[in-house]
Amino acid sequence: MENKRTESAAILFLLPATVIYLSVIVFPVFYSLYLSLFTGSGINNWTFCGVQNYTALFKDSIFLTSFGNSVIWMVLSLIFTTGLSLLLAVILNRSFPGRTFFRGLFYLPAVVALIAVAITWRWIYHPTFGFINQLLSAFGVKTGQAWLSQPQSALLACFFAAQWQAIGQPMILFLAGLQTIPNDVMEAAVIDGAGSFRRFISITIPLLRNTFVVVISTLMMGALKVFDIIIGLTDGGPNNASQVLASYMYSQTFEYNHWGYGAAIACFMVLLMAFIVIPYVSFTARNQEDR
Amino acid sequence: MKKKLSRPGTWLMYGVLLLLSLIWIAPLFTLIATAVKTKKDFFSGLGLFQFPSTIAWSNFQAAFTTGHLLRYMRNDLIICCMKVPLGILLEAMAAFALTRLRVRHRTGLFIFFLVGMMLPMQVALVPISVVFNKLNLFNTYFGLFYVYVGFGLSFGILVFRGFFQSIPKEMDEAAYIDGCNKFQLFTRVILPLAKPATATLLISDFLATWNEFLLANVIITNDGLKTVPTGILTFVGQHGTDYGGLCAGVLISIVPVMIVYFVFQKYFVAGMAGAIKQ
Amino acid sequence: MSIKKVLACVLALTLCVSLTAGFAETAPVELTYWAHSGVKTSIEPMTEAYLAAHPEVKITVSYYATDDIKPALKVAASSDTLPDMWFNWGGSLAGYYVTNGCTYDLTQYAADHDWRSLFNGGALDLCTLNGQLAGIPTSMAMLSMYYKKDVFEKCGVAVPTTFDELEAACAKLKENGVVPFATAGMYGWHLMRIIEQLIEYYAGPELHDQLQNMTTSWDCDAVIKALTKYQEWVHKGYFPDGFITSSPDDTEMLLASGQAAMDPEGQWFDNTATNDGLDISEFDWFPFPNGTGRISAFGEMVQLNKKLTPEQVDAAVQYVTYIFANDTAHQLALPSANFSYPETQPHAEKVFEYAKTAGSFTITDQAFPTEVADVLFSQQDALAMDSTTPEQAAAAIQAAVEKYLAAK
Repeated sequence: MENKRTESAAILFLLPATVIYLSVIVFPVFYSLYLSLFTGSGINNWTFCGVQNYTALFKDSIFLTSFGNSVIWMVLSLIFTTGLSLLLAVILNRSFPGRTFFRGLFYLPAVVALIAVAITWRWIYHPTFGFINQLLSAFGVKTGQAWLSQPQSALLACFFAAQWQAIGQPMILFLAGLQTIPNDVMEAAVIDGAGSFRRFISITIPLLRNTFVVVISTLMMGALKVFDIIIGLTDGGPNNASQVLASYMYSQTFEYNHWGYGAAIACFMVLLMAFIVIPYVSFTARNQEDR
Repeated sequence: MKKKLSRPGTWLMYGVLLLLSLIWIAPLFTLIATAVKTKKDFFSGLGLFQFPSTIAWSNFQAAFTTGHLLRYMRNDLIICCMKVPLGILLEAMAAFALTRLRVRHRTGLFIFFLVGMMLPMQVALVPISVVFNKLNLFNTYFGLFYVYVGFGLSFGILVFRGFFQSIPKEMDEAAYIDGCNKFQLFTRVILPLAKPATATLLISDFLATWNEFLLANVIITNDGLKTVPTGILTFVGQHGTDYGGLCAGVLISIVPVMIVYFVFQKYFVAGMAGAIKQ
Repeated sequence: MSIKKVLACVLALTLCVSLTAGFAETAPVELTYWAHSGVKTSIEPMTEAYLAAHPEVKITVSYYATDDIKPALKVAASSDTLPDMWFNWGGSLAGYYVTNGCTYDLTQYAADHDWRSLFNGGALDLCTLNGQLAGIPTSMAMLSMYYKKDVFEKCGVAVPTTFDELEAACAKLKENGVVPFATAGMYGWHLMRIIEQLIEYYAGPELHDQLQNMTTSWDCDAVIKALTKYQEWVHKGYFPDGFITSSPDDTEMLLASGQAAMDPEGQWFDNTATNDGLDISEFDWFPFPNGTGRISAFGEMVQLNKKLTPEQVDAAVQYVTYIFANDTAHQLALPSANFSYPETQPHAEKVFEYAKTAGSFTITDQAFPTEVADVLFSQQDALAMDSTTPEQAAAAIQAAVEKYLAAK
């Protein structure tokens, strides 16, 4: 049951955020929407074209590839990133000597400037003097596999490199969320053989519901906005095999000067995220109200 | 409190941790190894993942001299120290309203605030530039704060809302009985209980602001006001990158954020949980 | 006091004020300049010195890296916040600002100040876009093949002067376990330096120029032959492993360690290599044997904002010519008519001399608008991966050209 009246205190609490939000976020969204209805590659020489940009998107093979890649990235994030960061948070929530060091270790990559992340991982993946291939040859597996150059593996290689950085944030969100679970419940859920694992699944995870909403929403939206790591590792190549929505939007807008078309891609991204996140949030919010 | 752990369970857990740690350390190791190499070391056939025989402190020196890292770090620190607390306050207030006060369409409003995270930042560059030009806000930290706060709202509200929802309504009732008004409920009860969330956001927000490049690049054109990412890019030349200097700069710039992290991660300690009963 | 007297006093006062105004200090001419961060270490101190010596000018410099200046300028152009002067590469990159009316046309200024005798003619031509002199030329790059002498000696390879000799050299290098070309495909343009030479070889100068100007179809025999030869070289292993996504920044390592033999670079090589601690006497250069002798060239310039006043234009030109004329240490120096490279850059001097008589063509990724160049780059990738044929690739490039021209 939604409340009928908004109380005045609420308005006061919401006001500063709303004002800033309207000017910084809402205004650009409408500007983008407006821009996406035009075509033209100059400055101020645009012609109105209605939804033509949007229909053209679905005939654009590079757009479709980017869309597919972004979806793949999103699904992988949901499974892999969520799972791994939760695992780490649970382990690092227990007290043991050196815990602080490990907490630092797994968060540290999140702090490293993206350009350094890209360079480091480019070297790790390098076919001849890269870390992975050198390690493999130390074990007798001789491979000149070019991880980033094969269209099949390029996107995945970027994904795993991105995880190095991406784990940190959800991990600390889960760590924070685990603090809301009382000690005795946590103790009971400690990994203690198969029985405890079951308890973990049926008790701890539901108690982390709110944190899951945060982590999953953030990861899904983040997945669609992935940009820097792709540009740094493969520049969308080879032959656009690792192109994602954000990088394609960037090329269209800033490199080809198709401002309207680029804006259409951006609006599509927002719509896509809205379609996925809004039902998810509404669903969990409804459950929340029923408690 | 009994801690009943079976041997295999513990060993498995620590084994996994160790394995992951090794994987996670490898790239860091490369970063450090690169930061201490001179340019000559790169061409001498030394493996990319090996340490050179002499440590090139000159790279770190260069970060401060040619990279002007100290200046950029100071600027970034000013921006972070002002923006982060302000942002957190506004986000907490909005989340409080959405979870604790009577708000019509509270879920709809929350979703409205979520759109900010859906927007790729590049989209906002031109409209913001147009407005800033008219309002003369280029090269002002005020302009930068305003935009940063705006972009941070969605995530902050998301986190606080999630956390506030875990705080049982009984606490509110108890507070009202004690004579608290809405505002006091916020400051004396809810906020203190949300320390883990605040700590998370302090860390995340500080980091996001510290490494933020896109908006800073467009809004701040005056070199004296620029931030850390700009300083690091000094080492990316037109025809080649000074890897040693770059990595040295990156390592230095990590330090303040990690300090913030270590200071606030102590709030991620089971012990706060005792105060909250399910 | 009578009104007449009051009026007289006011008039006298006004006269005095206006007279003294003429002698009052004129406000300094102010300019904002967006420079490439790659030359920051040179520009910063020189700018300080220049401003100290010229108090009548106030210049604020901001530095941007390659990948940042491009979008920053676009955003600025769209929001009408362009600086007074900015760095840009020639060709389609600078051309965008000319087409959209953002730049000050220096053609008249150049004529008035006899720039033909001040600047290298080739540089001025590279900066003339859409009929306008789009900026003050600040450098001119000339590309040739650099190689490590001891690698050639060890493999018994002589410097190739014809295309067949080049192929023979590649085969021999490959036999000895050396990768012939140190190229990197990640952004496309480094690899393109080889491919455009192949096109020059098979198409000849006139056809090549027409292709670059998009006045003739790319779906033609010469292009298909060039792309076939490229694919053949890929199959023969003449390019490094995983080259299609390796970074141009890493090619120097391959060259210096002797793993790869030849690298297409501009005459900045001497400077960059020395800065990286290499001994340039171990290297030498030769023009790609494309049968015509022409080299690939591109220009860089400082563009001026259309809104500048004549005083600002003068100040800008003076500043830019001073800075780049004195910047031999860091990058390509001012392409002035009487310029010569310092002794520390022997190869650069020789390339420069060669270029004077050899003729040049504009580097393809500047001749092309970015969207067409990107299609060329993705075809480069696809050919290397065998996911397309030279015929299909040529057709794809032509399709992109047509699409671009149709949209104009």
